[in-house]
Amino acid sequence: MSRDQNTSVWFAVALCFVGGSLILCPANVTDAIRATVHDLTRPGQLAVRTVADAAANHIPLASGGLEAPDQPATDRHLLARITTLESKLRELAVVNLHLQDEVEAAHLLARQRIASSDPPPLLRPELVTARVIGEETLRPWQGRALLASGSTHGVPDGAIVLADEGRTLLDVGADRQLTSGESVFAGRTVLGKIIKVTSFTSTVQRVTDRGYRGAARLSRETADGKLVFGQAGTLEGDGSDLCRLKLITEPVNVGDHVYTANTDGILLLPMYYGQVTRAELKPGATEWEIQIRPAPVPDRLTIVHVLRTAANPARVSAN
Amino acid sequence: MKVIGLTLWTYAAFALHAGLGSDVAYGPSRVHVPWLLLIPTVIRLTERDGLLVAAAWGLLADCLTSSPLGIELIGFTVAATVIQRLRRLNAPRSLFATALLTAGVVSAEVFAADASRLTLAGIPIDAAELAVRSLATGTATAGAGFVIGCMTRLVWRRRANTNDARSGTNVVTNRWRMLTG
Repeated sequence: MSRDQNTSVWFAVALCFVGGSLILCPANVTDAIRATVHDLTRPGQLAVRTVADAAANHIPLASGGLEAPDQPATDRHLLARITTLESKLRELAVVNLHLQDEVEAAHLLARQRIASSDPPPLLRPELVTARVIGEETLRPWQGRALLASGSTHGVPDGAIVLADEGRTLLDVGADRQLTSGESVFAGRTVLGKIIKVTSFTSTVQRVTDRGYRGAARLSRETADGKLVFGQAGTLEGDGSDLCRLKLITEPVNVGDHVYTANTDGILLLPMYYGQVTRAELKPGATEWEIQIRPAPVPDRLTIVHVLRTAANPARVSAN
Repeated sequence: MKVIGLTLWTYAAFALHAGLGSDVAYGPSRVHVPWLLLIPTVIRLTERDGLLVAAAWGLLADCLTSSPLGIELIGFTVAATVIQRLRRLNAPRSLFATALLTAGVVSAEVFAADASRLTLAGIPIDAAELAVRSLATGTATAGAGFVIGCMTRLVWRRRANTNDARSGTNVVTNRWRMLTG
């Protein structure tokens, strides 16, 4: 081996040593490097995504990446329409349930001749629309969506991320006792949550990703179409296409729906996770083994909505 | 100038890699854009520059994954060393051989990096599935490289023919005449 070859080998070994040291580095040090790279690549990713989205709109083949679509365009359009209508239906069912509760509460107050004088809530939910600019990968075939919005755009760590289902963001809840604009969140599909925020980008952990955990509760529709909520548990992702619902001891049926539960007490109306595909109570066990299929979302995400809380101007001005 | 060119090339590679995501995927096969562009870069540069660029690209690839930094840095550096060894042995000699080398190197690197990443994350490895997907990634990247290489050669050949026609260069034929007699 010549001297040059020896030098190259030692150089490669030195570089590998640097790599090994980085693996052992604490996460707070490496996170700073990662955040800088994410912020620096954002303009390029945005440009690439803009071109790719434009191509997807003009070339049918590109609409699902290189994957050739199995259905013709009209079928895909109809599927998208069905998804939107299903989401709208969930919203109406949830809002209907909430209004029924409100009417009952109002009747109770009227019977007791007590005037309701609740102040407006201090915090109210808001949606930040964020563009998907790429993927961060743990495995090359399983990407986490990278968003073009970060802490400078008000995206908080741990915020719930909702799918864009073609529903208009109308504030139909403001004239009721719902938190302003809250009904637009009702029944929306939860895509995941924000797990990493840099100045200009953020990363979404999907509900199916290993490590995802969220409070969830079961619900089923009665024969007359009303929604009835059941026991709450914890929804967990396991890295497959499905999720698991844990801590459920009450009877469960395949086909039951799963909604969010107890979202910091700020959101009164739940959002949607998916549907029970398998429920089994093993002999001697107290807890059901429940498998959830998340609500379908488009393969190619372009826009998502990040749910954050902000100070309520009505409450601030009242003070 | 060389540094600016390399910086722009690097930026393009990673903006495309992170921006295109599943757009360059077909089932389990996904074109690994940095590897697609790194192999010709490593072949063209000197050994030390090639290794340095490979390590830098490895670090950038690490930054676009959800695992500890350093895994891809090591993977890219080792793979670049293998490519340089083969280049010194005067291999690969053809575009097809380069594509085969790409498929092998990328598959091995993706398999090793993913296996390490999943192990560090505490996720059990399904070696068969990982092997199939790594091979699919390597083959897709090599296939894309082969197609791009063929198209580039065709364009160059056509351009060279056009230039020859314009400059009036005599076309060399395979026939000859005896000058004497």
